[in-house]
Parts: sequence; C-alpha cells; structure tokens
Amino acid sequence: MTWCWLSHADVEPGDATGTVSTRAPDGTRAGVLAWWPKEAQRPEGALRVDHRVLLGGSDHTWVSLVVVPGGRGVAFDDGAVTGALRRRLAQPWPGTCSTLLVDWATFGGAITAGADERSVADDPFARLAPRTLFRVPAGSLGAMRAPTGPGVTRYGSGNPWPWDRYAGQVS
Amino acid sequence: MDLTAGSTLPDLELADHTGAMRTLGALVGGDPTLVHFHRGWWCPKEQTFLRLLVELQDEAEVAYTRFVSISVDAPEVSAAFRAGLGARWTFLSDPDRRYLDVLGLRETTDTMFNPYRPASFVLRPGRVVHRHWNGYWFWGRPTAEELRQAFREVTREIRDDWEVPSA
Repeated sequence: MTWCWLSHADVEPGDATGTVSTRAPDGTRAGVLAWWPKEAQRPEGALRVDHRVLLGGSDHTWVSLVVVPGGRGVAFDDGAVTGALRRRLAQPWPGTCSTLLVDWATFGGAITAGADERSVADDPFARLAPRTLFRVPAGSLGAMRAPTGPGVTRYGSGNPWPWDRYAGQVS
Repeated sequence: MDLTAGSTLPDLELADHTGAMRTLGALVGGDPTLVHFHRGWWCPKEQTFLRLLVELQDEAEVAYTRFVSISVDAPEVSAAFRAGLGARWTFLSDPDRRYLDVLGLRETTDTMFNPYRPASFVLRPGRVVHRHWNGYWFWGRPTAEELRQAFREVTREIRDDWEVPSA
C-alpha cells in the first residue's frame, strides 16, 4: 500500500496523474478530484490519501469530502480526531474511507465514499471541519474493506489511516 | 483439529458484519489478534464477555492489536449486536455452520441453535495460536489481564524494537 496527493479543485490541474469530474447532488458541475503520486512535490492544497481510494472499479458514487479550511489542520493525535476515527469504526462502514494528511503529523480532513447518499450522510469527520457532498461516476473510486479494528493509530508516521501494515511487514 | 499453542487456525472465509467476505488471515495481518468464537447475541455469558472486550478495546486501539469475534449470527444480527455493544472491531458470521465441525467447536449442549462452543485464541501473525481458552465454563475465559499478558508476549516476540537499548 502507498499514498497519493489528492486535491478537489475548481478546474482540472494540467499536471495531475488522474482526475475525475465531480457533481453536486443536484447534478451541477462541482469541480474535479485530482491526484498525483507521493513522489511529486506537494501540489498546492493537496493532501495525502490512501491510494486504495483511487484504484477505481467500485460503485461508490457518493462522496463526503471534509477539508480543514485554509490549508491548515489539527494534530492527528488530537482527541477530536481520535473520536471521529472511533465513530467511523463503530458506524456501518461506508465502503471507502481515508483520512487526509497535510504532513506526517497533521490531519487535514477525510474522504468517504459509498454507494448511496445514506452511506455517507453521517460523516464523523464532518464534526471537525466543513464537508462537501458530491457525486462521481461509477467506477471512479476504489472499494476498501473495513479495518479489522479497533485500532485508530497509524502504521508509520505520515501514512493515512486506515492503512494497517508497517512497511515491509509480512503477515 | 489441533487448536493448541503452536497450531495454525485455518484461513476461515466468512462474511463480516457489513456482509463483505473476509479471510481470517487478512484480518489478522501482522498484529497480535484475539479471535473469539461465541454462542451468539442471545447468550448472557457472551454479552458479559463481550462487554469486557469493549472495555479492553480502548487499550487495543493504540496497541496495534486486533479483535475478531465469530458466531453463527447472520451479518445483520451481528451488526446490530456490535452496535449495541459499542464494539469497534470485526464480527464474522457463519450462519451456515461451515466451520463448526472443521474446528471441532460445535456446542454439543445446544442442539437447537447449533452455535459455536465459546473459545478464545490469541494469535501471532500467520494465524498461529499463542494462547487459548475454552470458554464453555465462564471462568475458563481469559480475563482482561490475561489477554494483556498474551498480547505483551506476542508483541515482544514480533517487534524488533521491543527491548530497551543495552550496552
């Protein structure tokens, strides 16, 4: 597993590795999701995301995107973030979820995707920062199984939760 | 089947509480893991034991340690039971009783529901049994402290940086 840089922009960045158009729930155009490999210099406003979100092939067309405004963030180990992670594990798993990181130690938001509006409606991370609800075409995002639980800490600093292996670890 | 220390649990493939198929090996990953077979949501002994695990999960959540509970309850029943408990780990469902006899864990005194005989295992990565407890009699089950000690033993074994530096 690895991570990528992810951004939700109004216009498509020319240098992105991949993009997917997004629409508001009422069907109007609402920008693009764009991503770059982790080796790229951090694109402006981009955040670290678990790459499995971007693998495609799922029917998860509803997306809840929470981003701390202004490029800021809160410490990943802040109790508020831990509380949101606990609620994410306790609630029904939506289908796809990754925290978004500003840097190795800073929570910048979360992306959650599911097959219907109900699966993303109650987003625990939306208690931490503003969220945007939008839709993407089927097949755009990947599916992720729920973490085994109950872990809420990360496997190696800088990796988004719910990544669940140390680098090079054999299971 | 030998389920004693040093043996390997089969790579069970069952639906989790969301209905998604999971394998035990993938759920265990590279961490110490408690695998807990139980009779089902209706058993007061299971309710009591699972509440103990709910208390322990606050430690496990920061200790790179995993829990998996397995019963014959259907996924939607397990999901409701899990939510009611406040559990944040994976519940697996075996409503077809696929593994009762494979594992030798059929509850012989309940011929109506044919549930799992309660049993707890702390596994090392690779699904290798490190400690085991027969929970048919409630006092045969592990206490929270026994689980902590078992998790400590496995963690010491698998983490290269466990010991303090020596001269």
